[in-house]
Amino acid sequence: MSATSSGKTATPRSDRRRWRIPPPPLQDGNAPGPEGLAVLGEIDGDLGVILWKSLRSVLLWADTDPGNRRKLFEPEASHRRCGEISKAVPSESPELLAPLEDLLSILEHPEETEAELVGHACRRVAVWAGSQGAKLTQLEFLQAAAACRPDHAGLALEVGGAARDLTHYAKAEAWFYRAVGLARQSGRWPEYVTAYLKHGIMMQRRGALPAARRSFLKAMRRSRRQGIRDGEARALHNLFTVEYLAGSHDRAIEYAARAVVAYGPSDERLPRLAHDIAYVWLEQGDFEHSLPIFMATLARVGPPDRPTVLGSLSRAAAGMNDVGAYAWALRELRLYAAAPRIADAWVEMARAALALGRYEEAEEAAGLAETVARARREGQIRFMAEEILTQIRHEQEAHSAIPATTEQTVVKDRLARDLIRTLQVAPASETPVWSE
Amino acid sequence: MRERLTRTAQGRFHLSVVGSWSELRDSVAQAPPAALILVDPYFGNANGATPAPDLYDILTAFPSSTVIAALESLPSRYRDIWMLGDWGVAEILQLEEDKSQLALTRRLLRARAQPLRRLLSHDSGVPFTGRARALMDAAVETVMTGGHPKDLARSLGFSPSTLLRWCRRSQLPTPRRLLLWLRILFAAALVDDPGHTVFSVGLACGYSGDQALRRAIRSVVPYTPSQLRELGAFDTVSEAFFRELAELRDDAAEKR
Repeated sequence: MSATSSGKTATPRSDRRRWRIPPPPLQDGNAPGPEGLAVLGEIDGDLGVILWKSLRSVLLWADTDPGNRRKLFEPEASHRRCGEISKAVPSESPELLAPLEDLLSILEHPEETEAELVGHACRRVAVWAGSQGAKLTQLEFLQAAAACRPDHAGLALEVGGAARDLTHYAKAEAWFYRAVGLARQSGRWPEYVTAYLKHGIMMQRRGALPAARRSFLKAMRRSRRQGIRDGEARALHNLFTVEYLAGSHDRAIEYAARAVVAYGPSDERLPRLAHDIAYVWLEQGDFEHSLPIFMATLARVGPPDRPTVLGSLSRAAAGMNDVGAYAWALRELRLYAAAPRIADAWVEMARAALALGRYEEAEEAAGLAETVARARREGQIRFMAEEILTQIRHEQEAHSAIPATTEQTVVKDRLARDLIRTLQVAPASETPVWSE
Repeated sequence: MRERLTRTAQGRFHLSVVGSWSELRDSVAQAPPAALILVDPYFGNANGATPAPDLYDILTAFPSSTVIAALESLPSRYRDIWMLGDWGVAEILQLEEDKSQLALTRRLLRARAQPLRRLLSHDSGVPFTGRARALMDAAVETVMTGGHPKDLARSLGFSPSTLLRWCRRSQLPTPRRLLLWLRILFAAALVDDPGHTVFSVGLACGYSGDQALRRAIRSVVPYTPSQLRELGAFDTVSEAFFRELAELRDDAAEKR
């Protein structure tokens, strides 16, 4: 029965469907204990305690029904905290001082304070913590911001990203899915697409290619439906990568061609796509074409991406037997100890060194890759590094094997000559011999 | 504080107060294993500069007990707060801040699920997906409050059928079996604690007594509580739990 004939107003499909989003995963299953303790593990002294207390006040405030917040804190709590902040936080750090002072408002007027203000202040503290290298503190405050604004897809996305950077993959996945759900509810499609893209990239790095492909396809389809050109290009680019890794080379090239068109010449991500296409050629042994592309790409990427390009460039240089370019890339790569994708780059460098027969450098590079990948729980990279280390050992053994004696060489020469003579006696056989 | 505790405990907890660390130790040994223990960590320490070693001893002897440390969270005490967390304290009650009834209640409730969470935090070798982790977290809370599958569904905002579907997609056991496993895991942790009888463990875990607990344990592992205690109850049961999760896992599916 149609809506009109039944006399009811037609409702959009999205309004009728029941979207269920589970509560945000605030507690860390891997680090149980007092709430927010991770902050004290990273930031010591008075400042650590101030941040810890502020975080706990925010979480308590966010977890309390707005109607019950009036008697949550005692009147003097705000004055006391204010004094502690002025003692612990230097006035020349306004990027921290200002948000901490903003957070005092939940102690002063818990029932009137806007969730948006609290969320924003928490986010600013998180940004400060990130700039100090206190990644767990950053995650805690981002989570607090997301707890204050439980309907904000963008904040959920940021929490997912921070958890992923800390290799808290299960937590990151939960937050990415939460971002997808919230974005879908509010129709914020750019966030929806970004959440799926980030999830896909994370799954791809963990070696879960089917899950990654699913996320990229969802991102691509939604981008196309909503006319999000940038999202579509990024999804196509990632699909190209995932299909290549899955061994579907033809489909990968098809996606790559579509991604080049979708990006356009001025897009800042084009160099990365160029790198990836050149990498496919590199894998196919076409060093002549890939090396100049890597060189050109290096000129257009920033520091976070340079290790990746340097790793690929070293392999192409090794393929062309260009020792100078290889040595230059190795020197450059040593400058990026803590880059995000440094383990991948060291794997590439190890392969390059191996191709040039520089075993010591290969072993050093593979060892570095293995150590970083183990610390970051990047199984695929670690496996590749271990494989290279095994390969190096085999090659070294082959080179250090006892050389054949003159007598053995004479025997081999004779056998080889006899074999060739014998083979030349009869014509080629019509029947297949390998199948027997 | 005592007055606020009495108000919070009203109708939900039986409140008892002890006067020394040795008395507390005896009480922990005899108390229902799901008891919440609120302590002043500096009690009896002559200079009051560091938390009392007696507290550390109690936490070591009863690792599954839920201890909440009540202290003034002065900036100078940052090392103590960190150390208490390291010792295994489940939560901190900030005496100067958590003065309202709501704050006190929240701290107590949050602490309740900590022991099981801590026990499950060991690396199982079974990678949980994000959804599975969210379900497990909610299931832990449900078990600690003596809830059933319908309570678990309600806490997540799902219908029971949606919960069942999510469990399947997350490659977890059915909600009923998941809660059974977590309840038995909690019981196993208590069985491992010296000083607890099988009967008291059964009661604490929501069973009518030791026979009911035995039957429940038998439904997941082929051992009696006494055999489990000899084998290392929590390790044995958690191994069996993670084995079942691994059997449910289908790497090729990745249908999440």
